[in-house]
Amino acid sequence: MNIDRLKKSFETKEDSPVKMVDLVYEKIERDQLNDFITLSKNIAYEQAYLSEKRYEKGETLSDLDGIPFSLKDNFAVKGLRMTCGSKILSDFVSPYDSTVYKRLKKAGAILIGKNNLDEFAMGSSNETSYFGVVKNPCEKDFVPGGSSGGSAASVASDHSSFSIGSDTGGSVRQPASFCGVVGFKPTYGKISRYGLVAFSSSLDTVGILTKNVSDCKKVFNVIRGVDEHDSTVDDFKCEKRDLKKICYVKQIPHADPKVTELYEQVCSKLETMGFLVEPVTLDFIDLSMAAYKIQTMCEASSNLARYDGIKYGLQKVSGQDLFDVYSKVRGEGFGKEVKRRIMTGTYLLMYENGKYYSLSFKLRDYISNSVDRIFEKYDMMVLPTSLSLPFKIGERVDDPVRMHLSDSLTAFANLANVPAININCGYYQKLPIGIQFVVKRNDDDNLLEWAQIIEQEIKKNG
Amino acid sequence: MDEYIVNIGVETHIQIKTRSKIFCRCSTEFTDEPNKNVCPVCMGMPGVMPTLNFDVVPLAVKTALALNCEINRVSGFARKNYFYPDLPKGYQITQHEFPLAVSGTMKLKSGKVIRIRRLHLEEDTGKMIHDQDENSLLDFNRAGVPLIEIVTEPDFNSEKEVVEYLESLQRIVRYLGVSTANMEFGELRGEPNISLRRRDDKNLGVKTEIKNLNSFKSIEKGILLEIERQKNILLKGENVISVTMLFDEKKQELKPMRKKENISEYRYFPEPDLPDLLLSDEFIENIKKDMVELPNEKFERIQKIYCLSSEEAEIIVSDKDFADFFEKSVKGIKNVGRITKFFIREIPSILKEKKIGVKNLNFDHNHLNKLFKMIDEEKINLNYAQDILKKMSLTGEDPDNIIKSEGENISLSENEIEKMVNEVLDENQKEVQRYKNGEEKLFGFFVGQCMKKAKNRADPKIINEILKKCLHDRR
Amino acid sequence: MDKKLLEELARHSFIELEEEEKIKFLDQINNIFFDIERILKEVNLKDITDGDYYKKYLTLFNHDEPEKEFTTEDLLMNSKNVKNNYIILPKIIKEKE
Repeated sequence: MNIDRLKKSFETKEDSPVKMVDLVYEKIERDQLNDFITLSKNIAYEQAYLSEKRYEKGETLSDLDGIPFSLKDNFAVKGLRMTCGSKILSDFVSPYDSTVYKRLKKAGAILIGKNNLDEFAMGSSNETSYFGVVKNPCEKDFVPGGSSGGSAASVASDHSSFSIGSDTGGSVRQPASFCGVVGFKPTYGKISRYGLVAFSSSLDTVGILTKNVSDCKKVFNVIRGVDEHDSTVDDFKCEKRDLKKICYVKQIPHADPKVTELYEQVCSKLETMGFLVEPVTLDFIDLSMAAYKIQTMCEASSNLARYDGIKYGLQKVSGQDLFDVYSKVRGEGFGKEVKRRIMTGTYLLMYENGKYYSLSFKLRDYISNSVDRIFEKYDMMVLPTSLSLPFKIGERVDDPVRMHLSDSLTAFANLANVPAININCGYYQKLPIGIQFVVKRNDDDNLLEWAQIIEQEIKKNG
Repeated sequence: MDEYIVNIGVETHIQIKTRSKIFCRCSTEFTDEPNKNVCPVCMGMPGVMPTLNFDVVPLAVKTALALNCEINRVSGFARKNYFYPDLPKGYQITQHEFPLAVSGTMKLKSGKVIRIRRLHLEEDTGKMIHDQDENSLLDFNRAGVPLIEIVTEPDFNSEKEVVEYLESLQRIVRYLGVSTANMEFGELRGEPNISLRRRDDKNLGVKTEIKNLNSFKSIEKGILLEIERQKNILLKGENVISVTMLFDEKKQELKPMRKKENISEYRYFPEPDLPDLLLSDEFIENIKKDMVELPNEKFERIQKIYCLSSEEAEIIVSDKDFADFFEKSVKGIKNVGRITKFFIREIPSILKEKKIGVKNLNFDHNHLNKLFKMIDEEKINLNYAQDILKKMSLTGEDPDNIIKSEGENISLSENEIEKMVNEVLDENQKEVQRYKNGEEKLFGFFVGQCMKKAKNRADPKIINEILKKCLHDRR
Repeated sequence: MDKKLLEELARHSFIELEEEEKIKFLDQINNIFFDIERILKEVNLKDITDGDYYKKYLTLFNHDEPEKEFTTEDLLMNSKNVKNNYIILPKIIKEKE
């Protein structure tokens, strides 16, 4: 359901937004991937009829008019349930719209529903969701990755043309890799986070999942830019440049040989395309994991403090005292992964006056400086998105260490705040393998240009 | 109390008078309807982010400058993490490591200088109240109202000093237009922390904090009670434990806060959703230029140029509008000393009776200035002026009109007075006879009768003299 | 970290834990800490200049003009216990302390 083609079919009356929505809901029903927590049929049909009228009059609002999309269920839409994949918010209805949704609605896009996700975006396999695991559309016994697992699965299986996810340490790129779609994490501060439920505020970015890079560009241009509700957003853009020098990493510890094999093929292909491709070493991968854990857990412990069962969400009517009520609501409402992260974060902030949290900023400085040095020399970095192929559902539950490894090649981009995009570059049997392209801060538009060129080359050769 | 020295530090929260809240666009206006001025941001809904209302900044900077603070060109926001039902997000956005201003001072009347450690911005919490059915009810109208917090060093040694400090602070923020600072509405909240130490001990003792003090009286009482309580503990040879005490206004007593509500661990960290606040030198210079005269400066100037006693000056500067009104009304008056008493007694009593401020009087400074000129030029006496003032406050009429409409001369000449005195004596022949027979205390009676007849148009001193003369003539 | 500290942490975080969770969490949190400390030992963080990854200064400000976009109803629709537009706190069954 590539956006261009869909739009053309609406323009030629070959297809219509309403018929499209019918088809999409039928397919969601048929596929049973559990990639949606809430379907927004009322909104979708209303928007589809309005869009249809606009196509009749030839007065479409944007490139995205009539295009079906979905939102990870940690984005707010007024009047719709927003669960964050958690029991504690399982019946929460948002009283307001996220900025991203507002902009997409204004552009005429059609909201199909809210995608399943790891609880509060904490996880890499979509297995921590209170609403159950999402099946990988490529191979149904396998996980779709996470935390934007529902988003990736829905785009891969044509349940939506694009989905908006959130990427804190790889949560858009890794599931995109596992489901064989494009997953883009822009520079922090390019897209407003207002209405995205915070996990780790200093690392959270709004990400985009699409079928191809060209679609990704279109969506990005609709939702990017300064917002009166988010003080961390800017309109800064880099100058247009040609891609010349690319770096890659020779030795990647713990990587699945099938991943390494494809990675090497992609690097050779880049060379044959005429780019200068040279090896570099990354000394900060271990460090980035430590910094990532400290920052996300500390910030999460604070961001998730508001879920106390008093104003909204899971509520208890009584307790021995107020604090007993809090503990019961939170003990019951949060899943294990979330509870563990909150507690670890609380401990990290308490421990020696929050020494580790301050230290994690130093680590970010270190990583950021190392990454900047690489981009002084190279225009782009190529890396596997994930060390492993998609794994079987249930295989890694209760193995937090191995689970955390799945973030190890993606988190540094959030810590150094540089943009990165996953592109599917091949398969092992039915399982997709994605490669990640990373560029310097604010170079988002160049990244998308370059990724499109590479994507076309890879598709050409099959 | 000789054995122990008391050290008190004060944390003061003052609501800044802006129209909308500090991190969202909700109104700050007071309302009886619960949860009326709320939005997803100040209710702490999932996914919201704060954005700063810039208008709080110049107001806070003004206050900091008035307290001789150093303004930090870069200050930052932080999260203070704790659980309480009136705290919608589970943390309060405040300033911690990098406050807006530091290192200020305030001079007390005694000349003693209180050091101010810091001044920073933060958001207010919601309100929790209790109904008859013993339900606890939450209202978030106040959540997100801008506050400045001012923290002093433990430099106070008595409850009197603390009250003086808070009164001055109240006056300063009112002068600056930063806050209405009414304690009974919680617009100014002082929280003293108190510790006792032996005279020979250089280190401060364990401190306790008092909350819920809603008036200057309560502050005084609360501190006295806590000093007494700590002293008793120390005299028994026991140790004071660091707790927060709550003042019960009705029972006039202190009780410790419940243990679980006593939070010591706030896990502060920088607010990731708000970049630092950068202030330029130019911005601060412009605020300095626009600063109004502060109460203590006004006090000294007014006392000097109008030759007032310090008590008089104190009363006049207690309120900025009142002081301005005073200065405008006495413009061009030569003998200000003579009419100052109007500002010490008459006008304050009118204001008190009507429960209004000078701006709501139904006469203005021009009217008053006319009246004072008549006194200055001795066209009317003070008693008559008081009468006219009363009428002005009732009708709002120009003093000239009041005098004209009464159809009376401004004041009686000595001849007229003598004529009048003789009339009085003629009307009271019997009494004159008794006076002549030595009943001298009747003199006062004659004075009274004359005054009545003169309707305040004659100076009692002159009446006295003429009356004496006339009585003498009749002997 | 031992079980006692874990329990204190649970109290600070206001999370009630089951016994089985306590045992598992203790192990996992200790591992995370061990990991972090191991990694930090290997790195020299002296002479690191400030990174450029964050936005330094505020440029977006609100105007001091009230704006009403939401009704009380909007904001209380998720509260189960509301009386006269107040949110009622859960009943306290008995005071422990």
